[in-house]
Amino acid sequence: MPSNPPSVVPAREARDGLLLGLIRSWDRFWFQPSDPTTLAFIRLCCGLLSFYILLSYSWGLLAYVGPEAYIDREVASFILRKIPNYAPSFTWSEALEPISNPALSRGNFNWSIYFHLEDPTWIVAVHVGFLLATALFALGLWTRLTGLIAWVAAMSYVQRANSTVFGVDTMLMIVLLYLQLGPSGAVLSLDRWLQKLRARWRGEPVPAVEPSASANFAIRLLQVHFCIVYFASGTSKLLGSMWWAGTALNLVLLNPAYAPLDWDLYYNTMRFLASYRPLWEIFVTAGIVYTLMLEIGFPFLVWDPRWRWLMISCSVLLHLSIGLFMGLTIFSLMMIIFVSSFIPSEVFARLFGTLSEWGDRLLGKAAQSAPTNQEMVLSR
Amino acid sequence: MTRYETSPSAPLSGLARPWPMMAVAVLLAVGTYGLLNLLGDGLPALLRLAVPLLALTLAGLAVQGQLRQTAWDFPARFCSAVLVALACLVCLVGYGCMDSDWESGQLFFLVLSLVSLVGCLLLLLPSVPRRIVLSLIILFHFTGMVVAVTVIDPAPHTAPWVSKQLWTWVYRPYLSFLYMTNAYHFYSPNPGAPDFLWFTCHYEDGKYVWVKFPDPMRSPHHMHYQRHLALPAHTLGGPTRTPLTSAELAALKLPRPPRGSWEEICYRRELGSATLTYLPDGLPIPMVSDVELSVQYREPSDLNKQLLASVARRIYWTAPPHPEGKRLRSVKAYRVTQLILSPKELSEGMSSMEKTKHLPYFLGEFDADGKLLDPLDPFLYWYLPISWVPIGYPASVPQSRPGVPSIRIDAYPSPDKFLLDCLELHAAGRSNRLNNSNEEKK
Repeated sequence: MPSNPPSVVPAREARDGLLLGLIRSWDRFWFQPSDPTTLAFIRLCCGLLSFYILLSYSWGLLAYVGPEAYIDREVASFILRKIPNYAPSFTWSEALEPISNPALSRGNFNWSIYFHLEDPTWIVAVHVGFLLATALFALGLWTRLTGLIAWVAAMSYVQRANSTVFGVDTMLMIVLLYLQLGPSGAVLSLDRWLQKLRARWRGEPVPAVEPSASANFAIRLLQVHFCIVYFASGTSKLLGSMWWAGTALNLVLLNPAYAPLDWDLYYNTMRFLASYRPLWEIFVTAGIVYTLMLEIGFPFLVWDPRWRWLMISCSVLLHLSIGLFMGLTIFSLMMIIFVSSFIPSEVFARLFGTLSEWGDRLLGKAAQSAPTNQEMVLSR
Repeated sequence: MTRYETSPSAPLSGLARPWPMMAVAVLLAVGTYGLLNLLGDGLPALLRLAVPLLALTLAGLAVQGQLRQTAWDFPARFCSAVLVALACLVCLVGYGCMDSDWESGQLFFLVLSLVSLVGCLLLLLPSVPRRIVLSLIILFHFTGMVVAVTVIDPAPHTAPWVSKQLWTWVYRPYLSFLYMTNAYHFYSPNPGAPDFLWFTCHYEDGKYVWVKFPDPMRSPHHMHYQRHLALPAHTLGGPTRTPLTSAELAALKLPRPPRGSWEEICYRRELGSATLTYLPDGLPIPMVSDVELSVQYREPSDLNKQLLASVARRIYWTAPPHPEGKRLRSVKAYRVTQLILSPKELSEGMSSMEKTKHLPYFLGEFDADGKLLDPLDPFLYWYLPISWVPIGYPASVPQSRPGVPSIRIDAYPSPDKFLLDCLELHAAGRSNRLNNSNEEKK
């Protein structure tokens, strides 16, 4: 965590002047070493979710990535290699123009091992291999290697089975990419456990969990990207008349493809609300105001320690609501994992420390070391 | 503040040390490349793929081991940079080992070699320039995110010219590779009604079965359902277009499209209502008078037609088997937009499963190869109404032209009406023609 005491930094920045202060802030923001526990927590959760998502392809695997999939080999090959691309004109003409550069004129930059596999046996074998690597990544074994394979695996499905992807895949690819950049297996992992085991076996002190610049870098990328996602989502809604008219949530809450309208409790609750217009209108208007304020306000307020926990809590509440009202449970879980990048490592360190103590007590072990007297720092 | 335990990492030994490991990686990669040049296509594909990947893994482990153990002064960083440069070499050799058809492998190795090259440069740089370069990379990356967000046309206007140019020339390759092309415009500008993709599989004996995407009853888990829900959105999600009129075609000096001008398409549709009847009761599919014709016609883009044909082909080959073993004849595809209940309708107890809340569009009848059986089908890409009509239909409804029945879809149920489900009629197939004239051929 930050090594600079909060009171010292602003004083120095005040002396430096605005520009130098900004540069120092930028430098501290991106490159200051930090504890990798938050990153490790995200790896653990995202790894488990990735495993589930990949496992879910097992039902009808060939329908997604086989040569005769929904998007068969011929069409996939056309999209990959031959689909023409156009560029806007450099003149005032509104017509799109063909691209002369042969590398850009046709096809796409998609990549997936499944574009090139036809034999069902090999497809299944690769799928099992990907599942295994993703499980190991979640557990934190050989994390750098298995993390890269987990990213390649997830990419192979989303690029080949592109016609069946939805929001969760988008978010998964973002989080998996940034996890590659930091030491996500430094703690909460089998790698760490093996490291400790080896040290004990050799009679050496338990190796350190060093604060890492790359851990901070990866976390910052996650945080900034999350803010972009929210801001884009919030501001694009401002273009919609339904969001202004206060009717947008009608189409979300009563959408039969997503909302659990076949669930009696849900249907009856919605019907009860709809039976009293003021109740319904207040409910959906409050929901719209909440969504817009959160999505647009989050990127600005979350950096302020006074607002951070409120913003994180509101975001979690929003995604729990999306999970409940729209049935997008896995997407919601993914977003909650994503927003957890804003939770300081100390919180996770303390949480897992307490859990570990409880575990030791349950197993009847005496505490090997005194509980660490960590200061809870809720801001970064 | 947080306290950390401190102790150095355990030193590696033998082949697990970075340099010997990198040497093995380079040898493996270069050896495979040499064999490939010697044997050409005689080298098994598995070997061409597996050995470079193994070499890459070893190179990655070597770099990881080096970076974990080494000090951070210039000589140590120089050694690390050389090791990373060797990893770059392994990637380039891996790229060379790929068959020309394995674009994914080529792209993967090429990008990794670029990443290694940048990593090598970063290691050689002193602290401040390194941070400057990293900052520029961060700015480049997040500019890409902003471009992806702003490159979507904000209807009725177009996206910023700068975003489009940056997207075309710089960021499309970069973001496509990373799968970060999403604009994050969730439920915006407005939430819409969901689209489903329904198929009927027709057997030789005239029987047919429905296959629906998504089908919650047949989805083994929620992700399966969500993916099948995404399928129609992606397959039909492109821009729909109203065909050009004959005057527009003439003005633009464009050749006559395969399905003719907009007037011809509309005429064919009317002719279908006038001349074709459908099983089981021999009823015609009427015209709809209270919806604009251009809204009733949703022709997918060329790419969406290809995607749809591909899905239809899969449905053909995986159709449920006929109980008596009859062969499959064809597959009909329908886009079904499910209207969302208003709160008022919900308060009145209406169900979202009401048939009248579905807007079906016929997308074509496909054979085993995913080819359209009749590209000039009168109802192809047209809305098939589901509405309450007076008993005695078609004689009891108005006619838009002589012999062409016409209905409204805002009709309410009453004892003197029945539900005319043109989706079921169309799926059941034609019974005969009302007027056996040559008019249709025109």
